[in-house]
Amino acid sequence: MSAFPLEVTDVVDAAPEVRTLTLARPDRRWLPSFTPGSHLVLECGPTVNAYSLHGESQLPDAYTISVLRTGSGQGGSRWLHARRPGDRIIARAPRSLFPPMQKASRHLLIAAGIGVTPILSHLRAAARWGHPVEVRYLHRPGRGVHLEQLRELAAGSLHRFSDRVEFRAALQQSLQRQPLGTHLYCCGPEGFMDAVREMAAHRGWPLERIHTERFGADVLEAGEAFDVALSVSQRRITVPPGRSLLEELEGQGIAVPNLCRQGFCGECRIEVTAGVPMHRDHYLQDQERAANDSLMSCVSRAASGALEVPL
Amino acid sequence: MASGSHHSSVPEWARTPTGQPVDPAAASCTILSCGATSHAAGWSRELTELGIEHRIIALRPRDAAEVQRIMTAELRRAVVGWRLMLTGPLAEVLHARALALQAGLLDAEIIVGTTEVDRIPVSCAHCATTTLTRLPSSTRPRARAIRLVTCAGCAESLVVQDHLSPLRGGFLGVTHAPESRLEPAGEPR
Ligand code: FES
Repeated sequence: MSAFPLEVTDVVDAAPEVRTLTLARPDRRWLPSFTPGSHLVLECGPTVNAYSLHGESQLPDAYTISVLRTGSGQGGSRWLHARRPGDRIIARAPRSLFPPMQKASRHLLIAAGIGVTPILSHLRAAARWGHPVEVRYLHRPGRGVHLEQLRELAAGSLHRFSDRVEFRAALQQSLQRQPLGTHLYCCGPEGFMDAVREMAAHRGWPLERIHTERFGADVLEAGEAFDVALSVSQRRITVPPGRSLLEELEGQGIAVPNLCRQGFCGECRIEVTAGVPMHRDHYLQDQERAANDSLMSCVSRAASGALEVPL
Repeated sequence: MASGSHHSSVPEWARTPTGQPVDPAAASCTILSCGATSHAAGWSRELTELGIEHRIIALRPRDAAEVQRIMTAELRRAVVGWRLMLTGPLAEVLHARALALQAGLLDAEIIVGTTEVDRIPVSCAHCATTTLTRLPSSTRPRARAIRLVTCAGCAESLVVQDHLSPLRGGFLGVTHAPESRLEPAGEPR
């Protein structure tokens, strides 16, 4: 998939440690429209990261992302925080893995911390279409992000919390009175999303009504060993726990294009001709995933037994 | 491929009279019973044991308007976490289930128990009319594929497919093409 350059046109501090970057085409032409909840993959100096788009999604003349600066020197967040207007960043077209459900009659939007960015995107879309919403946002005192926009778009249906216990108690109540047809969308730290999902399931919410955005933060499990038959080179390799198929292929002298090595850029996709993959990426869409005829070799493994790939 | 139970669109309860278990995670339930008093009572007992709030509504068979009215009222007062539990003969269950699905209820929110599966609704792929036909349960599922039914709407001769359309609430019936080598399995009705 093609990469294209974006120019930083504006940098604003949205909250302590959070910076909002506005990115436009160098020639200022329109950018591709995107589905609310989509993310943008950016080459951030030494690494590649994904960020939720929260600005206008239809015929946008710019993309906006908000980046929380995280501790370690490795991350792309520090690199992005050092960008200034006029700087160029290489991007890939937005990907949609957290879309609004078309049949939803109401949206319950739940965020924690910087996880508010895709939620803001959903809120913007719901406001445009006139869909009923309820927003629940948990953040540390004084660290709320995009509060002004949230207030503007959600008005009376915005509920903010700085206390976990209060948040939980109020969410319990809320989960018990959502009219049928409501869908729940949640973004935040892994533990937060697990807790929300668990609370909802406990109140009888079917998983089909619960949607979470979980790229980036998760550390993948080492997984189990699996065999891969390379049908072109007539070899069979074993991928041990803790190693990726991509790494094993490289070890065999087979170069597979790659970039992020975290499952969201789409570069390392390879065809699967036999066997069932265990998808662990943030790139393939549901249908592509279900087809089981390709996988992202940097993160995905075999669901059981062996795989065959035409390499 | 033959109608393997794995990839078939036909759930087990549509092939043999079976009841799905109650959902212990349900916040509340409504049991709609079409002449299936004992099945409804069984569910009710289990729900009571689990402490799940529920009520039973008895439906009069073949009163489509009443089913529609009750369904609309139930769906309007329902909140997420609620389960619709349908029990009765397959034809009635499929009809009520289709109404619920059309209104936006998810498959996971509907629990089904069938008391009889011989009378099956066939939905014409061409004019969308539903025709009821009798197909004894002794007939193996695959035999449905060679069953001919005359559509009550367009009078076409329909081959009953082993495919259940959830939103239409019936088995799909497609025109019996003359070049097809299928033979009628019995008198169409
Ligand atoms: S290298 Fe980016 S998805 Fe695998």
